[in-house]
Amino acid sequence: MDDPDIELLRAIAAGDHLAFKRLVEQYQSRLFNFLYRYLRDRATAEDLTQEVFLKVYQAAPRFEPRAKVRTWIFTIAYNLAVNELRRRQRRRLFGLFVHESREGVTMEAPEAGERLELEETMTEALGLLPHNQRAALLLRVRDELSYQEIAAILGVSRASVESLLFRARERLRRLIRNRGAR
Amino acid sequence: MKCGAVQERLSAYVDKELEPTLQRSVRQHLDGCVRCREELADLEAIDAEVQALPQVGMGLEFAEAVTVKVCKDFLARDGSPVGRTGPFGRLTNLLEAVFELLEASGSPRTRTLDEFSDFPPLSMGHVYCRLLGLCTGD
Repeated sequence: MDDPDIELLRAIAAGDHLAFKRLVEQYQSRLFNFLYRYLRDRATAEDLTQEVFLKVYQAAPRFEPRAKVRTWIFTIAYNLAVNELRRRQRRRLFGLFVHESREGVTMEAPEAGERLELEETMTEALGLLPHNQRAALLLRVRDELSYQEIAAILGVSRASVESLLFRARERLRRLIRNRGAR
Repeated sequence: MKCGAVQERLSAYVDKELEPTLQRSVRQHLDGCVRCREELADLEAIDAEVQALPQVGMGLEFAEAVTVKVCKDFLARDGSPVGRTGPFGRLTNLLEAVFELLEASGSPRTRTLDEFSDFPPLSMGHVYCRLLGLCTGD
Protein backbone atom coordinates (compact mmCIF):
# COMPACT_ATOMS: atom_id res chain seq x y z
CA MET A 1 0.00 0.00 0.00
CA ASP A 2 1.37 3.40 -0.97
CA ASP A 3 1.22 5.28 2.30
CA PRO A 4 3.77 8.02 3.01
CA ASP A 5 3.08 7.85 6.74
CA ILE A 6 4.18 4.23 7.11
CA GLU A 7 7.86 5.18 7.32
CA LEU A 8 7.06 7.77 9.95
CA LEU A 9 5.21 5.19 12.00
CA ARG A 10 8.06 2.70 11.68
CA ALA A 11 10.46 5.35 12.96
CA ILE A 12 8.14 6.03 15.90
CA ALA A 13 8.00 2.32 16.63
CA ALA A 14 11.79 2.36 16.74
CA GLY A 15 11.66 5.10 19.40
CA ASP A 16 12.34 8.12 17.19
CA HIS A 17 10.85 11.05 19.09
CA LEU A 18 11.45 13.49 16.25
CA ALA A 19 9.38 11.31 13.94
CA PHE A 20 6.66 11.31 16.57
CA LYS A 21 6.75 15.11 16.75
CA ARG A 22 6.49 15.28 12.97
CA LEU A 23 3.44 13.04 13.01
CA VAL A 24 1.87 15.20 15.73
CA GLU A 25 2.52 18.34 13.68
CA GLN A 26 1.04 16.70 10.63
CA TYR A 27 -2.18 15.53 12.25
CA GLN A 28 -2.80 17.76 15.27
CA SER A 29 -4.89 20.36 13.50
CA ARG A 30 -7.04 17.90 11.54
CA LEU A 31 -7.67 15.69 14.56
CA PHE A 32 -8.35 18.56 16.88
CA ASN A 33 -10.78 20.20 14.45
CA PHE A 34 -12.57 16.91 13.81
CA LEU A 35 -12.94 16.29 17.55
CA TYR A 36 -13.92 19.91 18.20
CA ARG A 37 -16.64 19.91 15.55
CA TYR A 38 -17.79 16.45 16.56
CA LEU A 39 -17.88 16.98 20.34
CA ARG A 40 -18.39 20.75 20.30
CA ASP A 41 -16.13 21.24 23.26
CA ARG A 42 -12.67 22.71 22.96
CA ALA A 43 -11.17 21.47 26.21
CA THR A 44 -12.31 17.88 25.63
CA ALA A 45 -11.15 18.03 22.02
CA GLU A 46 -7.68 19.10 23.19
CA ASP A 47 -7.50 16.36 25.80
CA LEU A 48 -8.62 13.71 23.35
CA THR A 49 -6.18 14.92 20.70
CA GLN A 50 -3.39 14.29 23.20
CA GLU A 51 -4.90 10.92 24.08
CA VAL A 52 -4.96 9.94 20.40
CA PHE A 53 -1.24 10.63 20.09
CA LEU A 54 -0.48 8.71 23.27
CA LYS A 55 -2.32 5.71 21.85
CA VAL A 56 -0.53 6.09 18.51
CA TYR A 57 2.82 6.13 20.29
CA GLN A 58 1.95 3.08 22.37
CA ALA A 59 0.50 1.08 19.51
CA ALA A 60 2.95 2.07 16.75
CA PRO A 61 5.05 -1.12 17.13
CA ARG A 62 1.92 -3.23 16.68
CA PHE A 63 0.54 -1.35 13.65
CA GLU A 64 -0.13 -3.61 10.70
CA PRO A 65 -0.37 -1.78 7.40
CA ARG A 66 -3.71 -3.24 6.36
CA ALA A 67 -5.17 0.25 6.38
CA LYS A 68 -3.68 3.69 5.83
CA VAL A 69 -2.02 5.25 8.83
CA ARG A 70 -4.41 8.22 8.70
CA THR A 71 -7.42 5.87 8.71
CA TRP A 72 -6.00 4.17 11.76
CA ILE A 73 -5.35 7.49 13.53
CA PHE A 74 -8.84 8.78 12.77
CA THR A 75 -10.31 5.47 13.98
CA ILE A 76 -8.58 5.98 17.33
CA ALA A 77 -9.91 9.55 17.47
CA TYR A 78 -13.43 8.50 16.54
CA ASN A 79 -13.50 5.69 19.12
CA LEU A 80 -12.31 8.04 21.83
CA ALA A 81 -14.94 10.59 20.81
CA VAL A 82 -17.73 7.99 20.84
CA ASN A 83 -16.61 6.87 24.31
CA GLU A 84 -16.70 10.50 25.43
CA LEU A 85 -20.26 10.89 24.13
CA ARG A 86 -21.31 7.70 25.93
CA ARG A 87 -19.71 8.96 29.11
CA ARG A 88 -21.60 12.25 28.78
CA GLN A 89 -24.81 10.37 28.19
CA ARG A 90 -24.28 8.29 31.31
CA ARG A 91 -23.50 11.37 33.36
CA ARG A 92 -26.56 13.08 31.99
CA LEU A 93 -28.67 10.08 32.89
CA PHE A 94 -27.50 10.32 36.45
CA GLY A 95 -27.99 14.06 36.48
CA LEU A 96 -24.31 14.74 37.01
CA PHE A 97 -23.60 16.49 33.78
CA VAL A 98 -22.53 19.88 34.95
CA HIS A 99 -22.80 21.51 31.56
CA GLU A 100 -26.15 22.18 30.01
CA SER A 101 -28.19 19.22 28.86
CA ARG A 102 -27.76 20.05 25.18
CA GLU A 103 -24.46 19.52 23.46
CA GLY A 104 -22.76 22.50 22.04
CA VAL A 105 -22.99 24.84 24.95
CA THR A 106 -19.29 24.54 25.66
CA MET A 107 -18.35 25.59 22.16
CA GLU A 108 -16.45 28.81 22.34
CA ALA A 109 -18.53 31.90 21.94
CA PRO A 110 -17.12 33.93 19.09
CA GLU A 111 -16.31 37.56 19.46
CA ALA A 112 -18.96 39.91 18.20
CA GLY A 113 -18.91 40.24 14.45
CA GLU A 114 -16.30 37.54 14.09
CA ARG A 115 -18.59 34.92 12.68
CA LEU A 116 -21.24 35.27 10.06
CA GLU A 117 -24.81 34.35 10.81
CA LEU A 118 -24.74 31.53 8.30
CA GLU A 119 -21.69 30.05 9.92
CA GLU A 120 -23.44 30.09 13.27
CA THR A 121 -26.50 28.44 11.75
CA MET A 122 -24.35 25.76 10.15
CA THR A 123 -22.51 25.06 13.40
CA GLU A 124 -25.82 24.66 15.20
CA ALA A 125 -27.30 22.54 12.44
CA LEU A 126 -24.25 20.26 12.50
CA GLY A 127 -24.75 19.84 16.21
CA LEU A 128 -28.31 18.66 15.62
CA LEU A 129 -27.27 15.82 13.32
CA PRO A 130 -27.14 12.30 14.76
CA HIS A 131 -23.57 11.51 15.83
CA ASN A 132 -22.75 9.02 13.11
CA GLN A 133 -24.09 11.32 10.37
CA ARG A 134 -22.07 14.22 11.79
CA ALA A 135 -18.89 12.13 11.91
CA ALA A 136 -19.38 10.88 8.35
CA LEU A 137 -20.02 14.38 7.03
CA LEU A 138 -17.03 15.93 8.82
CA LEU A 139 -14.70 13.18 7.66
CA ARG A 140 -15.92 13.47 4.09
CA VAL A 141 -16.35 17.20 3.59
CA ARG A 142 -13.66 18.64 5.85
CA ASP A 143 -11.09 15.85 5.84
CA GLU A 144 -11.85 14.61 2.33
CA LEU A 145 -11.63 10.95 3.25
CA SER A 146 -12.99 8.33 0.86
CA TYR A 147 -16.13 6.30 1.62
CA GLN A 148 -13.93 3.26 2.17
CA GLU A 149 -11.83 5.06 4.77
CA ILE A 150 -14.90 6.47 6.52
CA ALA A 151 -16.46 2.99 6.57
CA ALA A 152 -13.33 1.63 8.27
CA ILE A 153 -13.29 4.45 10.82
CA LEU A 154 -16.98 4.20 11.70
CA GLY A 155 -16.97 0.40 11.55
CA VAL A 156 -19.82 0.24 9.04
CA SER A 157 -20.21 -0.82 5.41
CA ARG A 158 -19.47 1.45 2.45
CA ALA A 159 -23.17 1.43 1.58
CA SER A 160 -23.99 2.67 5.09
CA VAL A 161 -21.55 5.56 4.64
CA GLU A 162 -23.34 6.52 1.42
CA SER A 163 -26.66 6.44 3.24
CA LEU A 164 -25.33 8.37 6.26
CA LEU A 165 -23.98 11.12 4.03
CA PHE A 166 -27.16 11.33 1.99
CA ARG A 167 -29.27 11.66 5.15
CA ALA A 168 -26.84 14.10 6.76
CA ARG A 169 -26.95 16.43 3.77
CA GLU A 170 -30.73 16.18 3.47
CA ARG A 171 -31.15 16.94 7.13
CA LEU A 172 -28.75 19.87 7.06
CA ARG A 173 -30.60 21.29 4.10
CA ARG A 174 -33.95 21.02 5.91
CA LEU A 175 -32.54 22.51 9.11
CA ILE A 176 -31.04 25.45 7.30
CA ARG A 177 -34.18 26.04 5.28
CA ASN A 178 -36.25 26.02 8.47
CA ARG A 179 -33.84 28.47 10.06
CA GLY A 180 -34.11 30.73 7.04
CA ALA A 181 -37.90 30.58 7.10
CA ARG A 182 -38.09 31.79 10.72
CA MET B 1 -33.01 7.63 -14.90
CA LYS B 2 -35.89 9.27 -13.08
CA CYS B 3 -35.52 12.34 -10.90
CA GLY B 4 -36.18 10.42 -7.66
CA ALA B 5 -33.44 7.88 -8.36
CA VAL B 6 -31.02 10.62 -9.38
CA GLN B 7 -31.68 12.74 -6.31
CA GLU B 8 -31.04 9.76 -4.03
CA ARG B 9 -27.61 9.42 -5.60
CA LEU B 10 -26.65 13.08 -5.77
CA SER B 11 -24.78 12.93 -2.48
CA ALA B 12 -22.52 10.12 -3.73
CA TYR B 13 -22.33 11.86 -7.12
CA VAL B 14 -20.96 15.03 -5.49
CA ASP B 15 -18.38 12.86 -3.73
CA LYS B 16 -17.48 11.09 -7.01
CA GLU B 17 -18.12 7.77 -5.28
CA LEU B 18 -20.61 6.27 -7.74
CA GLU B 19 -19.71 3.48 -10.12
CA PRO B 20 -18.38 5.09 -13.33
CA THR B 21 -21.42 4.04 -15.39
CA LEU B 22 -23.83 5.37 -12.78
CA GLN B 23 -21.82 8.57 -12.46
CA ARG B 24 -22.20 9.06 -16.23
CA SER B 25 -25.94 8.32 -16.15
CA VAL B 26 -26.50 10.88 -13.38
CA ARG B 27 -24.44 13.46 -15.27
CA GLN B 28 -26.48 12.87 -18.42
CA HIS B 29 -29.72 13.27 -16.48
CA LEU B 30 -28.45 16.48 -14.89
CA ASP B 31 -27.64 17.91 -18.31
CA GLY B 32 -31.32 17.81 -19.19
CA CYS B 33 -33.07 18.39 -15.84
CA VAL B 34 -33.27 21.82 -14.22
CA ARG B 35 -34.90 20.56 -11.02
CA CYS B 36 -32.16 18.01 -10.32
CA ARG B 37 -29.51 20.62 -11.14
CA GLU B 38 -31.05 22.84 -8.47
CA GLU B 39 -30.93 19.95 -6.01
CA LEU B 40 -27.28 19.45 -6.86
CA ALA B 41 -26.55 23.16 -6.37
CA ASP B 42 -28.22 22.98 -2.93
CA LEU B 43 -26.04 20.04 -1.91
CA GLU B 44 -22.89 21.76 -3.13
CA ALA B 45 -23.84 24.89 -1.20
CA ILE B 46 -24.26 22.83 1.99
CA ASP B 47 -20.82 21.27 1.49
CA ALA B 48 -19.29 24.67 0.81
CA GLU B 49 -20.71 25.99 4.08
CA VAL B 50 -19.38 23.03 6.06
CA GLN B 51 -15.98 23.47 4.42
CA ALA B 52 -16.02 27.19 5.16
CA LEU B 53 -16.35 26.69 8.91
CA PRO B 54 -13.09 28.06 10.25
CA GLN B 55 -10.27 25.77 11.30
CA VAL B 56 -9.74 26.25 15.00
CA GLY B 57 -6.07 26.81 15.66
CA MET B 58 -3.96 25.07 18.24
CA GLY B 59 -0.99 26.60 19.96
CA LEU B 60 2.30 26.29 18.12
CA GLU B 61 3.79 24.64 21.17
CA PHE B 62 1.24 21.80 21.12
CA ALA B 63 3.40 19.36 19.16
CA GLU B 64 6.40 19.99 21.41
CA ALA B 65 4.34 19.74 24.57
CA VAL B 66 2.52 16.62 23.50
CA THR B 67 5.76 14.93 22.41
CA VAL B 68 7.38 15.61 25.77
CA LYS B 69 4.26 14.61 27.71
CA VAL B 70 3.51 11.49 25.72
CA CYS B 71 7.08 10.23 25.76
CA LYS B 72 7.35 10.89 29.50
CA ASP B 73 3.99 9.27 30.22
CA PHE B 74 4.86 6.32 28.08
CA LEU B 75 8.22 5.75 29.68
CA ALA B 76 6.72 6.10 33.14
CA ARG B 77 3.82 3.72 32.38
CA ASP B 78 6.08 1.33 30.59
CA GLY B 79 8.29 0.93 33.66
CA SER B 80 11.46 2.34 32.25
CA PRO B 81 14.30 3.16 34.66
CA VAL B 82 13.24 6.83 34.63
CA GLY B 83 12.30 7.93 38.13
CA ARG B 84 12.85 4.51 39.76
CA THR B 85 14.93 4.87 42.86
CA GLY B 86 15.77 2.99 46.04
CA PRO B 87 17.50 -0.39 46.34
CA PHE B 88 14.57 -2.39 44.94
CA GLY B 89 14.09 0.11 42.13
CA ARG B 90 17.72 -0.18 41.11
CA LEU B 91 17.59 -3.94 41.28
CA THR B 92 14.46 -3.95 39.12
CA ASN B 93 16.19 -1.67 36.63
CA LEU B 94 19.18 -3.96 36.46
CA LEU B 95 17.09 -7.13 36.06
CA GLU B 96 14.99 -5.44 33.42
CA ALA B 97 18.10 -4.31 31.58
CA VAL B 98 19.47 -7.84 31.64
CA PHE B 99 16.20 -9.34 30.45
CA GLU B 100 16.00 -6.72 27.77
CA LEU B 101 19.46 -7.62 26.58
CA LEU B 102 18.55 -11.29 26.45
CA GLU B 103 15.29 -10.61 24.67
CA ALA B 104 15.74 -10.38 20.93
CA SER B 105 12.49 -8.52 20.42
CA GLY B 106 11.87 -5.62 18.07
CA SER B 107 10.52 -3.50 20.89
CA PRO B 108 11.12 0.25 20.39
CA ARG B 109 12.67 0.32 23.85
CA THR B 110 15.22 -2.37 23.17
CA ARG B 111 18.61 -0.77 23.63
CA THR B 112 21.99 -1.67 22.29
CA LEU B 113 24.80 -2.98 24.50
CA ASP B 114 26.63 0.35 24.24
CA GLU B 115 23.78 2.12 25.96
CA PHE B 116 24.28 -0.02 29.06
CA SER B 117 27.82 1.19 29.61
CA ASP B 118 26.81 4.10 31.83
CA PHE B 119 26.16 2.19 35.07
CA PRO B 120 27.57 3.92 38.18
CA PRO B 121 31.04 2.71 39.19
CA LEU B 122 31.06 -0.34 41.49
CA SER B 123 27.46 -1.21 40.65
CA MET B 124 26.71 -4.74 39.48
CA GLY B 125 25.89 -3.38 36.06
CA HIS B 126 29.25 -1.65 35.86
CA VAL B 127 31.07 -4.85 36.82
CA TYR B 128 29.01 -6.78 34.28
CA CYS B 129 29.79 -4.24 31.58
CA ARG B 130 33.50 -4.33 32.41
CA LEU B 131 33.47 -8.06 32.03
CA LEU B 132 31.90 -7.59 28.62
CA GLY B 133 34.48 -4.91 27.84
CA LEU B 134 31.90 -2.16 27.41
CA CYS B 135 32.81 0.12 30.34
CA THR B 136 36.07 2.03 30.31
CA GLY B 137 36.82 1.22 33.92
CA ASP B 138 37.65 4.77 35.03
